[in-house]
Amino acid sequence: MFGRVSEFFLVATRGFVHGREYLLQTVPLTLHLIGRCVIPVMAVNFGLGVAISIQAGSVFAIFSADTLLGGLTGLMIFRELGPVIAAVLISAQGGTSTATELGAMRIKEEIDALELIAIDPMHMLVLPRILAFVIAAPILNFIACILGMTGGYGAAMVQDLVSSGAYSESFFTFMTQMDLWNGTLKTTIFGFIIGVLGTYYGFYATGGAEGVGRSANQAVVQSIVAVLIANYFITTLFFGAVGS
Amino acid sequence: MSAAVAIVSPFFFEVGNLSVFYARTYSAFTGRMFWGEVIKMMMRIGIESLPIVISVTAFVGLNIVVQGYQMMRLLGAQDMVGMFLAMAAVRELAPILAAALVGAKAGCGMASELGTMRIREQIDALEVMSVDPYRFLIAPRVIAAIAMGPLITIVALWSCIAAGYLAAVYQFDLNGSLFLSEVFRFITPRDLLNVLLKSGAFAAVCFPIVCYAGFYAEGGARGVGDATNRAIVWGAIGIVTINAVLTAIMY
Repeated sequence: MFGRVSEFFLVATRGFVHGREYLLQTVPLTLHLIGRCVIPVMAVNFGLGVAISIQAGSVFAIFSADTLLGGLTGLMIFRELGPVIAAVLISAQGGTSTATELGAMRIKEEIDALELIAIDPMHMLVLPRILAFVIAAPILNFIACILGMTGGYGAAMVQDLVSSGAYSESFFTFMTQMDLWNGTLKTTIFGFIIGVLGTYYGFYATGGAEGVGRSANQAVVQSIVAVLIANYFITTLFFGAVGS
Repeated sequence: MSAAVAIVSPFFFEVGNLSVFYARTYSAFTGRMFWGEVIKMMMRIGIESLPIVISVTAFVGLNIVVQGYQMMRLLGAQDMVGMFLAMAAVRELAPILAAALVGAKAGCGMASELGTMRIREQIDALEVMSVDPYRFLIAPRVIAAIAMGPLITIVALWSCIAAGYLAAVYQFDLNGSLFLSEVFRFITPRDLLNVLLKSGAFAAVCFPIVCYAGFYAEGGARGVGDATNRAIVWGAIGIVTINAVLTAIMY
């Protein structure tokens, strides 16, 4: 399984040399992907920011560390929840729609038709889509983090957990540029995983209408599992050292 | 004006259609029930979802401990990482993740299955034989999800905490028994009850949405895939919205 997906990706990368005329397609595909994913990403992260803020408020009341609420909510959202939730939703919305698109093309024998007229579908269809995921994921992550913080800030204000000045001050004290780069790197890798798995399952769909549904399902499940496993290792790489 | 109507009216169409769907599904709960189907669906949901739920929540537990250790270090309270795990995992992440994974695996599978049945006109065939498709197809799935959701969430909880223990003890050299006592000090029976209520509510509200997306699939192979896509996205948005509301009420 792992070997097959790697081989699939390596064959697709030959498009950088042999299929350069299709690389420009990445731009419209990226915009399309961002447009598709942005509303679910915004809605879910806003709701999650609200929930996190309420929970963290009740926890920090134990320490009587209410003024740290902004900073620690920020760390939680920018380091962890923003990237992961954005990735889960990108795979739910973008990954399944890519798998569906390619799967339907496979079932209707459009991919075979492309091969017949000597256009390599790996170069024309697969590589630009993978690149689109890699570019779109960090942008969506940034939007997700901002919406998460908006939700967190709004909940903190409405429930009167902490004053607005203390919230923003602790936020800017705790946040470093490193956290932003960490999220960007993480989501780039997540986008790559989602793109490769989404195109892989769509590209090799079999078995009619049912098969397209199955490949969309497989794409989202496998990419969520892969993303969350990769997340642990990236986090350990960045923050795992005991004395850091 | 007409452009606004063109954008807004499909939205209200969906909302109305979905409400009718809810009403029919829940009215099918009364009267005769196909218990054989319910048992079959419960087994399917459990068996399909458990492997990925256990593996994913284990990695999330590891991850929470790594992040929590760094965050608690800022407060100078490394030993409190058990509390952080208990709060984050029990109150928020285990119910959400279990629901999202059951939705992604079993829910998506059912949406694509119902979509295929719609495309192949099997649902119409059921209606022709005067078998109510809500009673035969939708209600058993929703009941099975309501029954299995809380159970899977409990499994997710334990796998999260067990993996967190491994990370705390072997990655950060914390004291194992101190860690566990911190964890259990912050899990109260009320928290567990809230978790069960939450996951039951996720299943009761979001599983009909997932079935709805599959039930009204149209347009051949592409349509089945689109139905799967809609099912998971609407389900995820529903889960997080309900979660925010319930968290605000409960805590």
